[in-house]
Amino acid sequence: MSDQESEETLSPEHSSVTTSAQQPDTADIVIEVDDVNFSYVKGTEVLRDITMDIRKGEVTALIGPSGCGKSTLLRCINRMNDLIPTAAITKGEIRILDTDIYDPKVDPIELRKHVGMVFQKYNPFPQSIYENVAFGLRIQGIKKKPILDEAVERSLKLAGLWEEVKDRLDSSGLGLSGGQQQRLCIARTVAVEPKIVLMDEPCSALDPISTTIIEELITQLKEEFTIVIVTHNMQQATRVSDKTAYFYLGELIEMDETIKIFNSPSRKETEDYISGRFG
Amino acid sequence: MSSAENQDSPAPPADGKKVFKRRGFQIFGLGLQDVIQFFFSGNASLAIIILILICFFLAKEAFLFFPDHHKDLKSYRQSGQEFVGFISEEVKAHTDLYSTANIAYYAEVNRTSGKEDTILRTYRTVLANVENRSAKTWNRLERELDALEDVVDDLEDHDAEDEEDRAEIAKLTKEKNRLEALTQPLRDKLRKEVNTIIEWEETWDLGVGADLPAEEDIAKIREAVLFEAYPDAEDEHPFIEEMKSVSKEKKAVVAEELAEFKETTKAMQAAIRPLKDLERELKKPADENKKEITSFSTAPQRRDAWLKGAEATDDPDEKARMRAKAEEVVIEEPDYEKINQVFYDSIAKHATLAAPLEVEMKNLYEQLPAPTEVETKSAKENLKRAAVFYERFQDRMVSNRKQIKEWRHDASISVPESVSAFLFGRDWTTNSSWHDFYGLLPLFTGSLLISLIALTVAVPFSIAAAVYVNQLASFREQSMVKPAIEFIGAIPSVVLGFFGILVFGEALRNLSQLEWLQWFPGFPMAERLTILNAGLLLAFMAVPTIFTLTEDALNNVPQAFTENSLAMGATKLQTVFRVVVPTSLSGIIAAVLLGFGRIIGETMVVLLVAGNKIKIPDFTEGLGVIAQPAHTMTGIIAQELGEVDSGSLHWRALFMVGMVLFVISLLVNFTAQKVLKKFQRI
Amino acid sequence: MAVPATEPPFADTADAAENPLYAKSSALKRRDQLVSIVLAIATYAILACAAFIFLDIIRKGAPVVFESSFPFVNTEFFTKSPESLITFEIEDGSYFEMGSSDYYEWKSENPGVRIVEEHAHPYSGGGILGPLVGTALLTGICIVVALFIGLATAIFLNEYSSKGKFMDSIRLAIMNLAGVPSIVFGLFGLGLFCLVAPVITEVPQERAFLTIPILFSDSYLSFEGWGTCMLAGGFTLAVMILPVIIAACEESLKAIPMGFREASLALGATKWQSISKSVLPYAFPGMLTASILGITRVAGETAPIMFTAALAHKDKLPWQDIQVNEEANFLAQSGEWTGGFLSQSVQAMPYHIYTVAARIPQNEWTRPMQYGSVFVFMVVVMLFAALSIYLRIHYRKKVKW
Repeated sequence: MSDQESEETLSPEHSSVTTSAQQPDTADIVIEVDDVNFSYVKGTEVLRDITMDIRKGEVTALIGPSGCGKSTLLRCINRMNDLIPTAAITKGEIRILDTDIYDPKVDPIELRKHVGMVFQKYNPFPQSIYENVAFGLRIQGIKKKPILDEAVERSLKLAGLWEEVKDRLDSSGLGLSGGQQQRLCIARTVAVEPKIVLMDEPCSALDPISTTIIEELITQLKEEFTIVIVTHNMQQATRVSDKTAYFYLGELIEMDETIKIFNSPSRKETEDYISGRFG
Repeated sequence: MSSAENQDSPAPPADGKKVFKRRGFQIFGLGLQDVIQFFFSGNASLAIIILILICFFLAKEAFLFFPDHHKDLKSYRQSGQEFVGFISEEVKAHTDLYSTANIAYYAEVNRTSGKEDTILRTYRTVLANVENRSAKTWNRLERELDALEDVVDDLEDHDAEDEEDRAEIAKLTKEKNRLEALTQPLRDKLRKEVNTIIEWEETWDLGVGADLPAEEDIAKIREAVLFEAYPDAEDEHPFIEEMKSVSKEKKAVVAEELAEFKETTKAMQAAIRPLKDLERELKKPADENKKEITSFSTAPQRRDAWLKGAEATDDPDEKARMRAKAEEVVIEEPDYEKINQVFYDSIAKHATLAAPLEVEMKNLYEQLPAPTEVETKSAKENLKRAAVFYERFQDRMVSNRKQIKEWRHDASISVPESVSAFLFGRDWTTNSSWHDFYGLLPLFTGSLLISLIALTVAVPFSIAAAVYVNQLASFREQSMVKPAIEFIGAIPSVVLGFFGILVFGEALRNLSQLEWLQWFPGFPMAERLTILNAGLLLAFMAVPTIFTLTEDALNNVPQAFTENSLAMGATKLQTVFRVVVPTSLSGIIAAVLLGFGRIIGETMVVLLVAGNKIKIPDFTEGLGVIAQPAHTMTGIIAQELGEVDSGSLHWRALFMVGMVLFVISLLVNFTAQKVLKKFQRI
Repeated sequence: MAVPATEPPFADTADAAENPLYAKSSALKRRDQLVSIVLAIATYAILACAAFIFLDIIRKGAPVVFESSFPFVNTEFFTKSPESLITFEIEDGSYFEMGSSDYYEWKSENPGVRIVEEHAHPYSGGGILGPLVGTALLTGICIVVALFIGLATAIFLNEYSSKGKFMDSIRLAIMNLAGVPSIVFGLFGLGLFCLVAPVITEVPQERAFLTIPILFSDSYLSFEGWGTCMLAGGFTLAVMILPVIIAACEESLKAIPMGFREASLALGATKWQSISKSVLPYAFPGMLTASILGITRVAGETAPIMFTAALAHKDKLPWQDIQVNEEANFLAQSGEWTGGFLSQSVQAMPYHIYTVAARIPQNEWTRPMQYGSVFVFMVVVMLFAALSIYLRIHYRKKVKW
């Protein structure tokens, strides 16, 4: 998009890393959003002309004022918007590794197995911790206890929850604290080993301490997963993300390295937003 | 709410500023507003008061029931009726065994003549219906044909050559023609009627396991019925004659083969005779004893009634007469020892009869063919049941011999005994000339069986419908199906009962005759009004209740759960069955419980279609028990309460049944609420 | 494109079938489809059963009620009470079928005619005026009583009460009341209203539960019950539907925003003023729904009125047969007409249907009466039911303050 101009303003080490890693190797692009329009009700588009690339192993933050369409875009990526009967992409396509995910041949169920999602409000199922984490595997028909045990342990460890709950895997997931519940949800999501994890304001319902833990968790998780996170909290975006995309009124205003967006945004609107003039 | 409290704020200081002081009308320091509030709270507490009153009125009769019932049981014992009852039980156990063997025998004898028997049965049914329902045409036709015959006879007497007769002949011929013209439409009418009756499926009143006759046989049956309608036909239609003889021949052949079987059943029947004679012999003194005891126990009341009458009347003669009557009432306790002597004397006799009976029955039972040795399904099943009945007979003989030996007319009846005589009593017999029994068990089993069938059918259907409507159906579909199912809930139960008695019962029985449905327990069904019929109709009634509550429960599952599950790649149905349904499980359980409450308390449907037979269903038929008629707790109240004197033991027994129903409904409701509370905590 | 070999799941495969995102027609999916179809079949099977019952009753009942010629409705069916159907034949072979009242008229008009064959079919002649009127009266009394108590209770629960033991026990009582079988209400009504309820009379009966002399008069307040009458039946039914009415009234009160009350109170209105002026008027549609819902429930009930109010047969309509019986009713004092009127037993549709369905010999002459009664009854009840369902959906949708 604006790669050419941004290069100059970036600090040297950043520019060297990113340019060398990105520019030549398009295969690194995991999600390709190509000129997408989206509407919930026919005629009123809530996303317009969105084009962006999300690369493997990066944390991409979507920021912007409420109602700007960032959550909508997130839900487009794993086709959660399919649940709303009239909602549809009206233009463009979203490709995940060169497969158009709105191709009729694509099964949203299969898609969602590869593109996990963590929601704003933590909501473990009213089942045991173990069952919560094993849920995704069970629905894929995995019944063997050793495999499940192993996956549950690995996922809980990934989510940094293992030490806290390993003695009470059979107790209800609802008995945990808020932050723990959200980490349980993350464990549940990563248990099926998705390639991409979408996070829709994962910390907005949590206290600062839990937020810190989750943020640390996100930076660890990006080793294994490509993460897209919607957040309201700009500090959080700077803390966890590699790239940041700023949305305003359904349009992608600017997307670039996080450091660049927050230090020297190229667009005026972005600057207004991050400097707190509105939003 | 908070501003209302301002009115109760303390009176302002007495400095003359009375602006904020409470004003208006007051009684005893209560303002109008308080009075209004009391009025409303009073009305609200009416719900509690009503509940308490219901408890009170049921409990009142119930508490009075037990002492009366106790007295009644005591008189049963003191009169020796109980003693005779033991013997009757033995006879009954024998009869069960014998009649099952007998049914098996006849099923086997008829094994080759099925086709002919079906034709004959159909013929008889149709004929009976025609005679019954078209009696007027039938009789008229008979009259006219008689007259016609007379005329024809007359005509034959006259000689056409004779001059004198010729005029007479002309007259008679005219009459003959007139009569013939008259009978023709009657014949046509009758023919039409026969056709409608044959076609009117509701009159197919065929027996167990009957298949309909073949098409060409039905035509012949029709002819035969019409043939019977002409009184000049002395004999039966040749087709029927033929069928009868064929059937007879075929049966004779089989009967010869089964001669031994027949001998055995006959011997069984003969074996019980001595014991039956003893039973009959002893019934008489027991009856007399009972009368004596009743007369003794009611004597004070009768005397009081006379005295009261004497008080009330002004006529001195009448007064004296009534006084005398009062004097006449004897209040003398019977000598129980003496009046029961006859029973003590017969203990020995019973023992001498019972022992050989047991031995003989053992021999005879062993002579019965094994279920594998017979061919028909009915015979096989009945022989299997006979094995169960034989075991019961043996047990009965052993236990009753002991009871008879130890029987004492003056043994006291403990409170638990008397209570269990009601709760676990196996007989509900009223208006009997022998003794009335008030045992809840037949009614309770009936209610329970019907409810269980209804639940087994209603629960899967209504939960499936609720899941479909709530989770899978489109919005349009939802907004049509939901009100439609609610609409079903508004069908009055008496209408459903009506439908059951007139249409569904018959349809179900016809269905049960179908060849490919014979695997279903209880099929083919002999009865129209059965546990199954009532159960299915009640299932239909319970569907709206369970559906609506289940749908509510599913609706209450947070959207987030569904979304989360879908986001993990679960399919719609995986989400429904792994997340939504388990989450709303307690709501669904509560729905099923409340549905159960609705079913077990339903009156009209069971009163109309359950068959109203007061007997514990015969569980030896296994699941086939559902093809039997039964009576229910609700049904018995509806049926009998209108016809008993208020305050009698029977009346109180019915209130007791109501009490049991009330307690069950409270328990069900209470459990459902507990379950729901748990659900809401999630 | 350069594809590292270590990334098989996301490899850009030329072969589309191997793309992990593409739909797979797996066994799982087929099972899903199958289960959905089974669920849909179950749902529509229920509706099909209902449709079958309705159609059967319409098919056999409509011909009784409607006629092909003017006035297109069988007027006799709606203007006469049930009576016996007499079928007979006279000497010349002509055959007649008529209700018993017509029959006696015919007989007196044709005194010389010899009747050959005569059969009486009980309850198969005449019409259903008596039961219709009886059901209307019972339902009316019931709704008036139930709405009065129910609304008051709902106002208390929604406007006055605060959380506490008293409230909890009231709610518990109402919920439990809803689950009590209707026949138990019948027993209760018989025990309370028919046998124990108080009446004012000069000659108390001996079996009275309690007799209290009234000062300065010859009368007594005697707890001897009202006997089997429509008042007792109506009260019994009212008690039975109380939970339904309370729930419906409460829902309608809850739908009114708190702001209405607060605004009114803030203007200095008393609690009662604010309820009566700013709450109740807006709750009217809800109450209408409640009463219609109540009518639907009550009109179809048989068990509670069996012993408290209903008669299988009655020649005259309630207002044609007023015998002033002062002993029988406490209202006898206040107005003779009312007293005599309310203390009569009535015929009722559901009880009538029960009678013709199960308590008379069945033959083809009874069919028209059976199906005609059921048809009319169903149509009336279902209309009310449809109305209540419609109103509920309608108001829920529309009333957004």
